[in-house]
This record gives sequence, C-alpha cells and structure tokens, in this order.
Amino acid sequence: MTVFRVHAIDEAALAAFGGELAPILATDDRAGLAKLCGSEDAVASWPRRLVEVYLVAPTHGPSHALRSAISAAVRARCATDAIVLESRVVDDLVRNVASDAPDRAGASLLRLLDEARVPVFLRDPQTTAGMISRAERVALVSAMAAIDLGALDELLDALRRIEPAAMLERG
Amino acid sequence: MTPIGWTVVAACVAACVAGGVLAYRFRSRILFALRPKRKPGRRREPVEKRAKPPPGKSLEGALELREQGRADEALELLGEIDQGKGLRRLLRAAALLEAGRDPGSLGDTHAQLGGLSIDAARVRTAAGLVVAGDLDAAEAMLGRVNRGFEPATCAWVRVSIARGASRPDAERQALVELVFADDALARTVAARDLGLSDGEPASAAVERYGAHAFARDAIARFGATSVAKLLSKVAP
Repeated sequence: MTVFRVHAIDEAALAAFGGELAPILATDDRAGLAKLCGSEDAVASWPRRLVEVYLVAPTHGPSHALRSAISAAVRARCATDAIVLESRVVDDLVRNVASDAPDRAGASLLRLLDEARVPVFLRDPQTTAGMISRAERVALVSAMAAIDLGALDELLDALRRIEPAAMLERG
Repeated sequence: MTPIGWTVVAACVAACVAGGVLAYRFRSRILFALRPKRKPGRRREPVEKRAKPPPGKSLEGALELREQGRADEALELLGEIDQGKGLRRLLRAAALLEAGRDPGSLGDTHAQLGGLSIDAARVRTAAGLVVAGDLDAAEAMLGRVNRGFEPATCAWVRVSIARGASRPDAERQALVELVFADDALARTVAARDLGLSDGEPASAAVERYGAHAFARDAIARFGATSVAKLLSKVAP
C-alpha cells in the first residue's frame, strides 16, 4: 500500500549539502563521499565514476545502495517531521483539486507531485516525491483555506504544521 | 417455400458472402490482373535514369542544397520556407550575411534570430560549433552566455566541449552541473551522447533533448561559423 509522508525541508541545509556533494562528485573523491554519507561500504560497492550513479537508469540495481546512502545522509541533515498521512491521498486526487484551485495554488499543489522539483541527491530510489519552497507552501496553505478540499484536508493540515519547505513523498 | 428451396437460397447467400470476402481479400491481385496492358514498344524509362527530384521545401532540403554547394538556391529556399520565427529564420539571416546581403532586411535583432534571445542563439550555436569540431570557438561562444541562462543546456554543451577536448576533469565537472540542473536530461545525454553502459534516456527529457539536438545538428550542417558571424554582427 502506498504511504504518503510530508517532510519539512530546511532549504539552507539542503543547499549546503549540495554545495559539499558537487565537488566530491566532480573530483571523484571517494573518501570524501564516504565521510559525507558515513558509509564506506556503499561507496566501495560502486565501481564506476561517482557521478555516474545519477547517470545510469533509475532502475539500475547496483546504483541503489549509493543513492540511498546519499539520500539518507542529506535527510539526516535537512529533513525533519515526517508526517505520515492516514488518508489515501492519491495523485489523481491532488490533480483534481489542483485543477479547481486558483492558478497559483493549483500550480503549487502540482509541484508536490513533480519529481524534478526535488534535488536528485534528496530522492530515495524507492519512492517518488515532489517539493515546494517555504514561500510556495505559505501561499498554498493560505489559498487553499478557502476551498473545500475533501480528502486533501489532511494534507493541508500537514502543510500547516511544518515551518519550512515541504516535500510530499509517496512510496 | 419447401425446405429444399430454403436450402438453395441459403447456399446462394453463403456463396455471395464468401465471394465478396475472397474478392476483398485478394483485391490487389485482382486489380493487378485487370490493369491496362502496356502497348509494345512504349517502355518506361528506367528509374535510375530519371532526374533526381528537387529537394523538398523544408529545412532539410535547404541543408542538402548547401551540402551540395548550392548556397544560392539554399538561400532562396530558406526564403520560401521562412515563417518569420525559429531556426529557419536564424539560418536565413546567417545565409543572407554570408551572401553579402544585409540580414537587417528581415527586421531587428530579435527578428533576425527568429525570436530566440541572444543567449539562446549563442548556446545553440556553441553546440553546433562543437559538432563542427571548433571547440575553441564553442567555448568562447558559451563564455558570452549570461550566467544562469539555461543552466542544464549550457552544462550539456560544456560536457560536449570537454569530451571533445579530452579533458576528463572538466567533463566530470560539467556532468555534475548537468545532473544538478536537470538529472533527467543528464541521463538522456549520458545514454545518447556518451554511450554510457546501463544508461537509459529519461522519458521526461526526451523532447527537450530532441529539440536542442535538432537545432545543434542543423546549425552544424548549415555551418556553425556562419551563424557565429551573424551573432557577432547583431550582438557584438
């Protein structure tokens, strides 16, 4: 069964992690990556250039361990308050509400389904996710308060309860 | 009607249906058998002796004409197919300049570039220069693109330049920039341009890849240097 979680994301910490990871991948610094992830095994099990972990197909099994290790490391630094949604918030439902919502709020809702909005190193290979910035989340909560959300009420509550940016993850 | 009569009627209907089905199934053979017979002595010319049909009125046709050294005809064709925007207009402006004519006759800079911004034209031309093998000119062209403009496409061109120049460190650096800017495009570039084993184009980026690659290859075939000269003229 699909589980939906809303994560609070510290955007500054996320950017800082990306700033550390980029030169490590660019210089193929395996020791540096092992230190960043706290997992030597995951790095050692990837025999190719480090950057290629994000260039092979997502279904490529051997890349999963390293991707997962990087994702876990960045989440430890910048993701908090994973709120598990009990209602079955499904993508179609979000899309339907988005189509009826005011333009900007609708666009923000759809961003919660847009994987391209989530930095590649934050993604977990086992799940899919979308993300909105803090400013987008504030505007969304404000705009959606006036709309009957039905089954999406729980999602809106979760978005209200967190302070920074939000990531909706499904998996 | 007697049972025998009914049987005869049913047999006739069945025969008609079967005949119709067979006629439909073998219609091409029947039509071939019924075709008018050619009179003796009136033989068609062998296909190979026919004049090659003129290239179609398309960008592809104009590029073929240029590759055959028929630049004037290509310019004329570009004039016919130019709809005032896009790659056709950009290449027409470049062809006019190359022919010693004023591309300003097509309008202002924006019109000459086919509606592209100067940065967009520079990125596409830089990519064309890479394919044409002029890596230094490509690097110089890309260096003039405003910082932050189409970061993924710029990183892709940098990957191509570094790969062409056999600079693995720079290639890796550019690949990281590409991954961070647009990982779906990065996977597509890795699969299609770099031939990465276990690579697979990302469906989300195939269209973006195709649009850029089409412009890149068309500019390279047209003559990326000629397009670069146009850009130097309109945005010195």
